[in-house]
Amino acid sequence: MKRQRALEKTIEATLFGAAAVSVLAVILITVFLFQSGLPLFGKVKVSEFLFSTDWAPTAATPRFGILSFIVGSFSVTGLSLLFAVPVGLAVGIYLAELAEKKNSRLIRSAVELLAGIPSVIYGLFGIAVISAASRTLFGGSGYSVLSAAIVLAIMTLPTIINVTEVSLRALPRELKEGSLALGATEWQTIGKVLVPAARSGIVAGVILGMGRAIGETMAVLMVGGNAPIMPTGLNSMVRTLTMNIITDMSYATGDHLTSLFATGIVLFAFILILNLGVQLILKRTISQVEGAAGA
Amino acid sequence: MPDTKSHGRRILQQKAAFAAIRGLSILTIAILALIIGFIAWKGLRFDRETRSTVLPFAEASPKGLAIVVNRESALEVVEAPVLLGIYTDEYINWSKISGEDTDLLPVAVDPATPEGAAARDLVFGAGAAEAIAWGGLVEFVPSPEAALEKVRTTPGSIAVLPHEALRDLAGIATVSLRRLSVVASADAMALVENRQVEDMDDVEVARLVSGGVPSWAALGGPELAVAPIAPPAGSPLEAAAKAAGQKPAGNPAIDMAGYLAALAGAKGGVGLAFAEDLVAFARSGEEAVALANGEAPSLAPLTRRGHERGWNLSLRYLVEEPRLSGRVGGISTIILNTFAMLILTLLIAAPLGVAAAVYLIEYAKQGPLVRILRLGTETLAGIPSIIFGLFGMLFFVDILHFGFGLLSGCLTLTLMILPTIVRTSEEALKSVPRALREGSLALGATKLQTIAKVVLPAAAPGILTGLILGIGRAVGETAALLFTMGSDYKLATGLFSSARALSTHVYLLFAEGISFDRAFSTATVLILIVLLFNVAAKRLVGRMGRNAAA
Repeated sequence: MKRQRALEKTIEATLFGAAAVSVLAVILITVFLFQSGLPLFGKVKVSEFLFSTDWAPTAATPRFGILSFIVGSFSVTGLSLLFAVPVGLAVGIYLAELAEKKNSRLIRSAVELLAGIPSVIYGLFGIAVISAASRTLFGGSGYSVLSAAIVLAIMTLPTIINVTEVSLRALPRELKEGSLALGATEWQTIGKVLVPAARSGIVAGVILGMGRAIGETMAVLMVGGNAPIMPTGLNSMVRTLTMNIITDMSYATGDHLTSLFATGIVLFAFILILNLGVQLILKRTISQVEGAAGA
Repeated sequence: MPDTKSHGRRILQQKAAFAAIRGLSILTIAILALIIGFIAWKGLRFDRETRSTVLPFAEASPKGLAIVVNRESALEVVEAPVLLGIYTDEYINWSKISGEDTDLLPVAVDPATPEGAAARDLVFGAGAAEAIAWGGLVEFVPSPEAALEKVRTTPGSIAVLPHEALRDLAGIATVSLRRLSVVASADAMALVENRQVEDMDDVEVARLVSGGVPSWAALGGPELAVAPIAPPAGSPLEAAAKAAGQKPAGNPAIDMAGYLAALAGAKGGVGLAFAEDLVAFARSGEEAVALANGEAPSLAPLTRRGHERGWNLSLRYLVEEPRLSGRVGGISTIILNTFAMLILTLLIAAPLGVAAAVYLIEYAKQGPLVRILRLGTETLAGIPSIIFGLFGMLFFVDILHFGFGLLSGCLTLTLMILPTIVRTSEEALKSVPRALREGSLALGATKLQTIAKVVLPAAAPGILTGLILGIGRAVGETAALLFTMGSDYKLATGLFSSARALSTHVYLLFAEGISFDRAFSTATVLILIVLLFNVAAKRLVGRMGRNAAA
């Protein structure tokens, strides 16, 4: 009996160890990233790193300014959300409220597949179709903020669709029935009651999609043009934080290498802030729902 | 009544809104179909623009001769200028000709024999034998039989033989020859006021040769009337031209020997010629003297623009090893590496993820500890792959000294897909009814026995779905693998050997500018694997749903 208990204890400890791997990994990632990137700030001022657009890591007097890449990341991501949010919302509403079973199954499969397509394949598609179309329509090289944003929009679409659908489905039935009983049309109910009620879940989904988009590397690398300049317009080439890391990684040494890890820290910080935002919003929603149920 | 009016407007509004929503939903499916369809189409078929000085018309038995290669060769058609290059050391390897990484061995029958002389005339054109510069690679054999034997036994060899010497086709393959060229006199081809005759497509070639184009200016050349000169009546050239679908106008009474000289002498002359005759003409007395004096050659072949279409993704591509960075060969080792990577990742990630889920559902008490563990999983799920790549490089590659290799790559992937596996396993465990656990415990089973023999089997389909979703994500990963698993395209021999996965191969084929066609072919294979995993996961979910319903 005692041996049995000891065995149970060991197994529980082992299982706990497995459950702790994720937390441990997050801690290790944070520690190593900071350890490798922070030394840069002994040589370069944080403000200069973040707010200068002068990126010349291999010059005689190397200069490390990543503002262009921060702006690049956010402009590409923002623009992609501009495309993805309306479409994602519409498809989410369709799946949750309008679609017959057969249609919704078809669309859901399509959305799942879109989510499963590897990012290099999006990149390849982007080069051959989107960049080529942009080249003929708007001139230039076709590798631009716009092309990257369109590819990213397609990639973030599944996240936004899924979260919208789930948030709408989670709403209590009474909400919809009440509105319909008051004589509102179905569309009024959706637009004025259901979507506002599911707002926080949808916002969380959009932020989640934004996190995915900011962290995306391969697809934007292949269609963004990767010129280390401040993007001046939709048709301008762009380099994002992720592209900056992967482009130079294969040959960088010394301070240059450290600066790439520092770029990683900035990216990591943005992602953590976005994730924290999602957690907070979802937590507030849950307590709101619970509070409403209690009252 | 104002009320019905506004009601009507609202209904109209609703109709418009729903139509827009339906339209956008269909757009999603259309985008997916476009992406998959486009990649698959480009992956399966290639369509390249080609430029060549010979027409696509191919002869199986030019001048009663046959070109033979070793059975291993993929070569089916050869252009006369390439054949000449093969016998003059312009090529030492098949990679630029047929995409094979095999050394080239040109075999020639002794030109002193009649058979050898005929073969020589097909390659170099007729004329003074002493002016011919054979390549140093060429291996001379005494008879057609000996040449056939050499070709049969040596991969990468090629020979030109009389057609009747081919009694036994075992071990060899015949290759047809493209040697029909369109030639123009030097004045038509000259660069005048920055204008020169442009490359032309098949339609333009046919019109030009049949006299349908009045002036060279129409083709970007000088203001000069086109003077089409037809081949001698009854000559093999005329027969070939007819067979190639060309309709040369006129019927001048000249013989073959005078034909090229007439072409060269005509103002704005254009006509058809065999490539080897052009070579011989260029070697001939007058031309050589003219060239030695720094004059332009008096005859030049026109360049034809065409499209080459064919199958891209062949069985050959799947089963051959990649060579020369994937320029030639296939992707067999890369497919094997990818599956080795997936299996190893699964071996590490599956027990870890399932154990974590079991702890969270079956053991842990709700509280701050569980909240921290969940937060860890959530955070890990949100970290972008490039950060995983950086971490893997720092930790697994450098600090743990695993180096760039399978193990580092798989450990990095494990961390990436762990959240997916933990979350789906948790859901699966949660969906196992309490009654099952309680029944088992009531029968006297320990908690451990209950979990191992009752709960886990009941949750198995859900857990499996999570595993499949996880490796579905792993198979498409590139950014995290570039700096952890390396990019060696040879078969991985151990945990520490650098290995290239399919997704990395797609990226590198594009990034190193090796081949777009090959990138698309590899991408098609990758998409097929992803689709396979997707269907498998769906099947499992479907079965789980039925089980739950029952």
